[in-house]
This record gives sequence, C-alpha cells and structure tokens, in this order.
Amino acid sequence: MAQTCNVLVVDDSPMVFKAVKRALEPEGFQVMDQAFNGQEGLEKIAVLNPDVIILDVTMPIMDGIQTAEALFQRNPTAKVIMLSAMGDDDLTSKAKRMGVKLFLTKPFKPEELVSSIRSII
Amino acid sequence: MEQDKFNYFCNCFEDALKKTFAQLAEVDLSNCDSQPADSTKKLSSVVGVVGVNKGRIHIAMAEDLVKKLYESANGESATDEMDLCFYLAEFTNMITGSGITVVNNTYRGSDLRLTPPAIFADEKLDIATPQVQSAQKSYQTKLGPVMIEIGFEGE
Repeated sequence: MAQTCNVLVVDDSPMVFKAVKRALEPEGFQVMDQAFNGQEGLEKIAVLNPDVIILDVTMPIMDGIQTAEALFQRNPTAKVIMLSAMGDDDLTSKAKRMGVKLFLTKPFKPEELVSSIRSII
Repeated sequence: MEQDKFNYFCNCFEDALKKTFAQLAEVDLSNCDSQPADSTKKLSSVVGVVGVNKGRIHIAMAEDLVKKLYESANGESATDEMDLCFYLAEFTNMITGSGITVVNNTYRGSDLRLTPPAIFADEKLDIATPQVQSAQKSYQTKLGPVMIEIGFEGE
C-alpha cells in the first residue's frame, strides 16, 4: 500500500521538501510536488488529489491553519499531517479538532514521518 | 513587558537555540562575549513574533558555520548561497518555533505565532528598533560563533 501512496508537501521551505523526499522516497512513497503556501496548496490538492498532505503552519499568504480549515470544508476526510516548528498545546488541539490526523514538530526524524504516514493510510 | 517575563522569553529562545544545534548538528554551544568577527561574511535570519506580545528574533552566524550545518543536515555541500539562505531560514524557524512552543504553553492564551523568516547576508549587520526591549547573547561552537538577539515591544 505504501508504494502507491502519493504525498504533497505544503511548506514554504525547499529544505523541508528535500528532507521529506529523502525520508519517504526510499520507503516507496511518491512525493509528488511542493506548494509554497496554503493557497497554492489548495490549488495543487484539487489537481493532484494526493493521498496524504504534509502541511506546515507558518507560511506566507495563507497559513496552515487557514489552509486546513478550507481543505476540510471541501474534503472532510482529507489525510493531513501537520509538520511545524511550533507545537504548543493550543495549536495542536485546534489542528486536531479541525481534522488533522497527526501533528509532528520539526526537526523530525525520517522514521517518525514514515511511521506516521503508514498509520493513517 | 515585565522584566521577569522578558527574561523567561529569552531563556526559552536561548534553550531552543542550544537544543536545535545539538539535535541537528551535535554541536554544543558555550557562552562567549564576542560576536562573529566583523571581517567574516555572515548570514542573518530575522523571524517576527505576533500575538499578545510582538517581537522579533535575530540569529546571525558566520557563513562557514552555515555551510557546515548544511552539510551535517543534508550529507552534501550546498550548491550555492541560496541553498545556505534557505537552510538558515528553516534552521531559525525551528529554533523560534521551539521557543514559542514553550512560551505559549506557559503563558496560555498568548497565542504567539511566527512570521516567515527574512534572510540577510553581509559582513556587518545590526538591528536597531526603537521601543524594543532586547537582549543579545553570543556563543562559541567548534564550527564558529553564533549570536542570538531577542527583542519584544515595550519598555
């Protein structure tokens, strides 16, 4: 199942995209593309229909919380993992109430990201 | 901002700086009085803080140190200066995000959030902002010096 899992990264950092690709591709995941802000993310989600979305919080134009809100209105079953440098209790609770499956903090361990995705697909 | 609260904020960001260096590059920071030498090219990153308290965190380090951090994290050399800028931006984001997490969990309801980082490269960079309560600390690493400056609105 993991071999056909398509992942979209919504994060303004090219370094995070690189790190996610490095963690996931050897495990058989396909990291489809990167969106640099929430607005671009919503557009790419509509076109690419990824199995899992890795979503940052702090981004220009539209942040991760606003993006998740808009996304779950369109698709309440979307599989979203939030990956952020921030991880305070209020933020993680809010994200999970909205429908975010898992909340990981940066810096992340590759094996942690892999097991997180496997746990929700 | 009350001095005790400001000191707590500073401790949170300084601890986050040390933790992130240790986690990502297995580098220990030791206190020092000097800033990165003016003759060396430096990269600086500034991240804004918004919410109940407004401020900014400025982190500067020698370009050579950023190169070494990049190599440590990616297992390869950076191809150009833009790679280093992107890396420092994310590195700073992780430091400030870690610090903000502790602050928010202590001062519930503060709802502090970060703004995307801005990166600057030069031999000498100073930030001067009126009406800001600020503190600066320098550290020495085996890879070169690093400086963090923490500023929040208010006397």
